[in-house]
Amino acid sequence: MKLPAQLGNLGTPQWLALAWLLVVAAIGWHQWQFWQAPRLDTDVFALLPQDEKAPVAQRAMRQLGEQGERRVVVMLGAADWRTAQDAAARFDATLAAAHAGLRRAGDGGAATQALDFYRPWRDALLTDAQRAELRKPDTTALATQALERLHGLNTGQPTAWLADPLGLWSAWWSQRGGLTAARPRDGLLWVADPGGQRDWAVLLYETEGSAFRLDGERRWGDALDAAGRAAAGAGPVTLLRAGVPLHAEAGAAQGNREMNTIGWGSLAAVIALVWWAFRALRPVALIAVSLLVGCAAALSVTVWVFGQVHLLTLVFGASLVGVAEDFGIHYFTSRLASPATARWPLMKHLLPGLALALLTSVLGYLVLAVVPFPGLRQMAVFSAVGLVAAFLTAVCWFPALDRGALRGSRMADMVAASLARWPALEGRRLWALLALFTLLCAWGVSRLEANDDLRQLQSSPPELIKDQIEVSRLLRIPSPAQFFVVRGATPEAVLQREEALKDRLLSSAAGAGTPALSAVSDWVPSAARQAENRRLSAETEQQVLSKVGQALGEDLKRPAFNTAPLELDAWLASPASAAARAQWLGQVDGGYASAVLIRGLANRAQAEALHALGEQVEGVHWVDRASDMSGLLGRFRVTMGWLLVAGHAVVWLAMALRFGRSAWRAWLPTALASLGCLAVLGWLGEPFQLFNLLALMLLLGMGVDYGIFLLEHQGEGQGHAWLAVLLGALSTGLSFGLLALSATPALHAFGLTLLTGLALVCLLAPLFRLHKPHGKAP
Amino acid sequence: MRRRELLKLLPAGLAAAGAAARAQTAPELLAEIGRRLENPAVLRGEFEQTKTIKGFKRPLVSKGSFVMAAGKGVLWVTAQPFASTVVVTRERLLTLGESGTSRQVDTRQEPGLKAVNEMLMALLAGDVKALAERFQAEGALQGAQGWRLALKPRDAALAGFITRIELEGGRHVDSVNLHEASGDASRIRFFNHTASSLSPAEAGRFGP
Repeated sequence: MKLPAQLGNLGTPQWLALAWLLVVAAIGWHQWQFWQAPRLDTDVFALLPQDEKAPVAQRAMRQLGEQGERRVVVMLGAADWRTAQDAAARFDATLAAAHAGLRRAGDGGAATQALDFYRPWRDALLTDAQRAELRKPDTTALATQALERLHGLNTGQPTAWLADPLGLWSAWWSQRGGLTAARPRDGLLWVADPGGQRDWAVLLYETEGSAFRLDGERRWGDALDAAGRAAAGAGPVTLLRAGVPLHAEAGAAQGNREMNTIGWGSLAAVIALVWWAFRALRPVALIAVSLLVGCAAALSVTVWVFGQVHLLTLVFGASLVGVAEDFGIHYFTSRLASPATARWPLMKHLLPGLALALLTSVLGYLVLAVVPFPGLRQMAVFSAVGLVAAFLTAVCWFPALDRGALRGSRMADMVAASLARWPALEGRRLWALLALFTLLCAWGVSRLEANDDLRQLQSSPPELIKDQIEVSRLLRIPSPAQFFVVRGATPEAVLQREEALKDRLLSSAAGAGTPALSAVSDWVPSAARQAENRRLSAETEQQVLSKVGQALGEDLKRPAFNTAPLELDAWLASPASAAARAQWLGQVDGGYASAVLIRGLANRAQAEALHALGEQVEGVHWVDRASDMSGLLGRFRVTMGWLLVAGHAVVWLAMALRFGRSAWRAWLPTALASLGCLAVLGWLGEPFQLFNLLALMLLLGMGVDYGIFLLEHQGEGQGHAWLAVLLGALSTGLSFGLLALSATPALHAFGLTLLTGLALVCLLAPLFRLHKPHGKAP
Repeated sequence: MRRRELLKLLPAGLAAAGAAARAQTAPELLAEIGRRLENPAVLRGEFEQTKTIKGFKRPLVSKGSFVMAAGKGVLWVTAQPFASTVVVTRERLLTLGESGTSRQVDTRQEPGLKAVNEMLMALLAGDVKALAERFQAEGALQGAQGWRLALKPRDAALAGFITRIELEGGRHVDSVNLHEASGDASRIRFFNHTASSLSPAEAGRFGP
């Protein structure tokens, strides 16, 4: 840090104050612009780490996710279809009248459009069963059936009779329809509960407008609630809803609530504490200003670096209030300790300690950025910038703006004096305490259980998740996190490999309840397969037509079909591909790739069987994003563990440079508190995860500050440093304690760890203080 | 008063034509046709079907008998030129061929077919109320007992198969004209209607 040395040489703090004023004005202007149209990100997946090892899987995840990002699914279940239909009508009417920004999607015209698109290639589209039958056709029996159909009761056919004399196409279409469980019925989509006797009406909606308007209000959620109440008028109805927008909205509402609780809660706590300690408006106002500048600068720089800011960053960043006030509090408690010293010389005297404290805290935050979590990087940048800005505000402005005497309160004096009664341990007592503490911790740490479950980042309300799972089950929506990636040199190679994979599953699968695959080749068979289908259908249909013609005395001509194969590009460009377009991943490192999704995956054994099956086909890779992510979180947990150990070593070294042989006194409380945190987690049965370690990293940065403050001030000043430490730790602890209330498990873990750690540091730090005057006192 | 409002909504030409043929608004017309139709529990009779299919020079004619059991389904027994039986119920479509072959399609798997089956049952039973749910109906009464109806599918999915259905009848449905989206058409005439009960064999066909 060169800054303190430079500052020491500057005689004119007014010059500094003005320079900082310019910066703050720029930040203010940027803030004013930002809040005109805040770019807030609420997607939980944006927090997830980039997995450099699997770019294709990542792309597949993103593409499949984008497909549904505006879609809301509502299902109304009743004992009979009529009630479900009635409920759906009431629901839709109420929702339409509410103008809540949800538009009914999926009109019936799509089916007709798709029929027209595929019609020229009818002869090239066969199901597996049909292909098997046509390889060894009994043309006499087929001709008899054709005659029966010709003369029988008409049951409808999507083509002219001559274009499909065997009636093959309906079966192909019904297999395409099988890709989702929902079927058109009476202008709605219908699903029957596979287990029970329930009929479900399915309504699809899309969110309107180009951007999410996530201002923390449950606009869609409330409208759906109201429509659900209206639907209940039809009779006993079960309502399920699912869709990314609902999770985003719930996340935004919750994030907003938490941000307000934590932000305003911390601010109120800090103001109350400062007022309680100093009984003067000036410290309160100045510290509030430093916090405000800190938060604004943090937000501006984050937006400038990342283009937008994640809502969870703001939630986490709200705890900054409880950390950034340390500098201000430390300055004002020092004023109490030596009221006679002039402002600027006092600040100059405090600077080395403050700068060192800032450095350790910022380092603690910046280590978060080592982990390639985009979300964590934002949080790290946000917090680090916020701290630096609050520090600069305190250094540049406080000496200039803080005029007049500071009385302090009796309470503050009592607290400052209380340090004298706090035992300072030396010699045998010290060792005994250390041994006891270590034993207790060892017992707790031995009970720790690691948990790298991805759901730590999940903060959606449980009922929404329950609905989502139920809707996925009923509609047989494929698993979003487990699928195959198929790669090949050309699109044709990819399609052929997909077909090989499907054939392999078909020949190995036994019994009902087997998962089914859905692939791009379901919609566009490979050119090779199209040619085979075309040959098979042409041969058999010619023969059947001539037999039927003979029987009826007609000269029947099979109409011509399109001889060029159905091309992937034509399909991608047509509305007919809407359902499966996202599965085509396009060009990927010199080749092409697609995702083959799995429907009806019921258990781990099935997933493992599929995994093994996929390995047997060339170019096919099994992807399990959930376990990949958990593995990644686990690897980061181990890395972070070592980084934490290294961090302690570095901090200890940095302090040895300033405090020499006394350095351990500043460092040991934090080290012990970290150990204690782990033990507490073990005792409480809380899972041990990456986020606990990240919190310990932060604890290292902040906890050491308290040791530094106590070491910096010896003799009489030590009591007031203790006051600063207590005030700082109290407000920081409160902020993170509020964070522990967060419904996001990761933030909860963060908050809980820091709350425990800070409390322990506070209790332990004075035990290790240097008792005798040191000669460095002012 | 409501009637006047509805009339205002109708295109002027249609309203005029409707007035000429003893003006009836759709709900009233359907209610009146429902009153004119007899609804026995089991109705049997004979049919003659004439299909006009693209690419065929001559129409395809078939003859046979039918049994319509209210709430259960339809037995469609073709006698000429090929013997075959089709059993239509809400749950399935069963075809029994001349050589004893049988093919069955479950409507649980193909709800599109379920819609078609329900439509066929409603058509043959003259269940105008059920028909009006799926189709837009236009029509007129003829004489003291007769009526005719033209139906257009409300549902886009159904319209992909059927463009228009014309029905004529009196106490029973006498003829059905079915125009398919593919351009094919079939005309079915019904006669010799009688009301009776199901034989055990017939009841067995409809299944459990």
